[in-house]
Amino acid sequence: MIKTAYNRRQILAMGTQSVAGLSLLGLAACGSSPSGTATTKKLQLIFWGSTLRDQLTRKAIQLFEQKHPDVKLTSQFTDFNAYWPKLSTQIAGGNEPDLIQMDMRYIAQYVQKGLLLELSSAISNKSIDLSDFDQTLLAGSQVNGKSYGIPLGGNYQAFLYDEDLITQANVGPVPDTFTWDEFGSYCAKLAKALGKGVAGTGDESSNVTAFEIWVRQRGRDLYTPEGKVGFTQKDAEDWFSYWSSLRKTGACVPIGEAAAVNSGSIPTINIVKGQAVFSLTLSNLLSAYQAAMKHKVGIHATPTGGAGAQPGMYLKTSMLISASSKTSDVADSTAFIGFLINDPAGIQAIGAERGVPGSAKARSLLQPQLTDSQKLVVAYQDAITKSGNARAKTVLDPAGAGAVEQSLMRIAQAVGFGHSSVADGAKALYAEAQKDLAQGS
Amino acid sequence: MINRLPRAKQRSWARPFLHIIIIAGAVLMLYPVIWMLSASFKPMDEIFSSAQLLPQTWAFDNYSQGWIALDYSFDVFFLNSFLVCLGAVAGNVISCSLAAYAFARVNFRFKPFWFMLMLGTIMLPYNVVVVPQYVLFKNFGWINTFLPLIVPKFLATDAFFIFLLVQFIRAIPRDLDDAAKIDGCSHVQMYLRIIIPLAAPALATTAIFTFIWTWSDFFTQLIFLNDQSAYTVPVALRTFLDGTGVSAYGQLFAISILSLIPILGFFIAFQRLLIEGVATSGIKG
Amino acid sequence: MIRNPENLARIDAKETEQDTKRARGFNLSAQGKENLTGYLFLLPWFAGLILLTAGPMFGSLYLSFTRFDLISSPVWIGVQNYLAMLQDPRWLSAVRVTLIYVFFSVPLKMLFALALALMLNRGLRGLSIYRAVYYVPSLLGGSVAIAILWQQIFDANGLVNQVLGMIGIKSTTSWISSPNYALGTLIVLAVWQFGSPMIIFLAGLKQIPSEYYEAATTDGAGKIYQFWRITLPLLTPIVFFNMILQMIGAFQAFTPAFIVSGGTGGPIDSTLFYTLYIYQEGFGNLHMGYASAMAWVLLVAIALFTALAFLTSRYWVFYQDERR
Repeated sequence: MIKTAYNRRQILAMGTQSVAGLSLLGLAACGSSPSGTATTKKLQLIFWGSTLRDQLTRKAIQLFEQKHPDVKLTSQFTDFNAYWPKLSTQIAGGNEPDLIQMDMRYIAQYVQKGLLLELSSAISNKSIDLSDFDQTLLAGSQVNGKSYGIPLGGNYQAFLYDEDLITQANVGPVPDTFTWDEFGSYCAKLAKALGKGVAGTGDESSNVTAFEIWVRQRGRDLYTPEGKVGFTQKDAEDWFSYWSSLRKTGACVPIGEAAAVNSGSIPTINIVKGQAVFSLTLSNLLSAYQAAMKHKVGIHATPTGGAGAQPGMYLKTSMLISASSKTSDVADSTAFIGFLINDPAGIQAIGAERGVPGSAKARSLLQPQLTDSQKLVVAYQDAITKSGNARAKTVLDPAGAGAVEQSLMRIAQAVGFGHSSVADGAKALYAEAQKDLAQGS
Repeated sequence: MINRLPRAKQRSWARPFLHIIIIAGAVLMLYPVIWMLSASFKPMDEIFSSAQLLPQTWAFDNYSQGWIALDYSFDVFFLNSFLVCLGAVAGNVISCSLAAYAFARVNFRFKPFWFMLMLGTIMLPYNVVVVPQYVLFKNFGWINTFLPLIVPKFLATDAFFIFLLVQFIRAIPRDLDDAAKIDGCSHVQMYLRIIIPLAAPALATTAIFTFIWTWSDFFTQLIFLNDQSAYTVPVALRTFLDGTGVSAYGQLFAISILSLIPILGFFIAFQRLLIEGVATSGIKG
Repeated sequence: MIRNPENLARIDAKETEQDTKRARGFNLSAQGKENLTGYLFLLPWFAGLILLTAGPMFGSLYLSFTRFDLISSPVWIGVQNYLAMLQDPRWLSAVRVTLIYVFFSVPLKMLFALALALMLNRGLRGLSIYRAVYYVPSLLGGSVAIAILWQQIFDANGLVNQVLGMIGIKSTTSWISSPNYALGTLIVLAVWQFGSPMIIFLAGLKQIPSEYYEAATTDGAGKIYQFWRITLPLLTPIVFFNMILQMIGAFQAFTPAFIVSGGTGGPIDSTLFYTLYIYQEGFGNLHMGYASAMAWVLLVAIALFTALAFLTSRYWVFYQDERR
């Protein structure tokens, strides 16, 4: 939403802020800002995202406040990395926001500490209507079978690729499906055709999303339901060995270029820099990649595990909207969640920017306003769901999963740089993962 | 009088050579700003794909859209940053010079102990004290105001500057002090009439550094400010990026360039105090 | 110009006598008055210390003996955190990385800062512009733009390799993503931002009375002699200050590694600064007790190095206000 003029509320706020700022001592009162009548209920929302997401969210909040004139909802946001220190500091300081955007990697810990509101009563009394909600997505987002947050979008793992480079290489179109080995040879062909400086794929050995698919295709999960290591040392060894061979044939980028990648920063990704054709990530990021690239970006399923393997992909919640267990206003907090999930005004306000919605009604409602990139993503997700190439994930990431991710990255890089052999790397990964999980709980 | 070596002693070939080195160095210093300036005029898909400095397409809307990208336009954030920075400057200059005078010129008991303690407070990383401080400020009701950012400066918590001023004051000869003492001046008078004027370069340094560091201090401002209306420039700038969605790099660079202007301006304005130097003719009298 | 020390001693003695005579009426000796004055000047600092610094510092010391995840209450575990540190290979990496960073970046930074301060202090034309220009890098310190730019410069096809190619050295190393050289690029980044100590040196140079130089020139002393005998000695308090604070700052350096490595300290922990590791453990993995313990170990280490510097300073730092 683009503001071309200040509305009255902003001018008032600016004026108040300047005066407040100048009277430095004036605000040391009892801790609450002096606005609002006795009947106005104040809620706080915190989320991560960029300015685009903030604009969409503020629109949604405005519309919500119109329907609930007795509620004032303020929002704060920052980027993903700064979000968690800020949130945990606020919670430690006793200042929990009422509405919290949540991530699957953190939700288990927050539920364990009793910080999130359990939503089953809100769901049963239809404040939050999940009757047409994608059940796989919902099930994958629950902790201990209960909902502590509603998914705002779903994601499949995907290989994004540079269509223009495929055309340029002229070694044939991307096969409809391929196994990991077939993918490797296709990439080697691409690399040879495209010449120096461009490889077939980025080096995904340090990418936990990719490793997870590998492990799941062998019938296991990264973690067990008890919160222990789910993969075997052999899984890791095969994984590192696969990428070593790809490095040798030039199918994937050399380790120097791979180590420069920082998955949180789009400009460092090899495909964005024009150094590779394929990049494994989550389907939602297509818009972000396309925005930074002049070439056209396509989307493709991840490699299959070959004969006898299980499907590796799964529908992953992109982010959830949760309520704090300590909120003073359960009714209005859950009403806002319901507004985002069910109310056409709310659905259209936040759009598909946070992910493709789980509710079928929402998806059809958004269809006309989707961007081209978003349409591609929706089509991809529908195709994967129909193809049976996905298998629901039922084990939540335990506390300590973040540390395991870091260990994987470090050890994969050590193997890539030749500091460690494949076998030693696998052993180290297994041992460190066990330590990370033990310390996390 | 300006501190300058007599020109007659300088060799004539040295000067152009010196100029060349200094100019080459200046280019090295400025290259990143030039790059950022060029990126701020490029559309996002060009920023990372083309290596040349001149944009193929000029994206002026990086500036106009970036300015209004948040709920409040950036003039609010710039104003907030100014308020916080000026408050911090006032706080540091006053409180740190008072403390530094005591350490440098007053001979009180247990001074070495307190001095060591003061140095010790510089050595603890901020990450570790932020949570207890947050709880404290929450109890005062200061969260979401500028108070946690300014009041500590008035209480000399930036011990860095106490130490800086101590070193500078100790480098001032005691002759004027002695003369003043004989005339019956108290410490307060000596502080105000002698030390403050003579330590002007150090005070200017304190002001400049405080302003610049506070202007770019992201972490504390992130932690203590919640409402967008209270955001300062670094907090607002950070929101342009998001690893999980679409980031607005062009706008980020555009507003970053704009945010360099006040700090550069502050620096240029105050560096005159560094130029004017110290009027030391008083010592002879 | 410096008064006769004997006169001073006499004046001091007389002064003390008078003070004591006068002061007996208020029951406060000269020393007592001096004490009171000192503490009064320190009042704001004391307030800050008690309210804002001491509390949190002791709080973090307490936390270092606990297991704390920011959300639930801390659980006392004694010295386990400290013992765990010694067996933590990443902690050892962080120590190694930080020590290398400190011992290379601080001297280099000081060298450039002093050299440029001397060069810029000569009344060159356009001086104030140059001064601002050389300070600009320090203004960019924590910005994301630096991270992106640094990667571009030190990449396999970056500026550095292009320049090397121009002088005949073919290089395809990606400096910034190589575990052997990534830290080097951060050292270059630190040295590139020598503007802060440079400004401080400039301020210090300004404070040297020009009479000293004039007197020396009249006596026939050359420029180099003046530098070694006037400038450098009188600058030693500032050199000392810069050295201590740059060292403390380098030990605590966080932002460069955070933004250039994306918070990972990579590749393979080669840029894992100590405070970055503290941040990862404290705010990332929610091991706040362990992070606090590491922070205190850092504090003790810095204190030891600083104490060492102070002890040796007696031999080379010359204060104007000392009466010998």
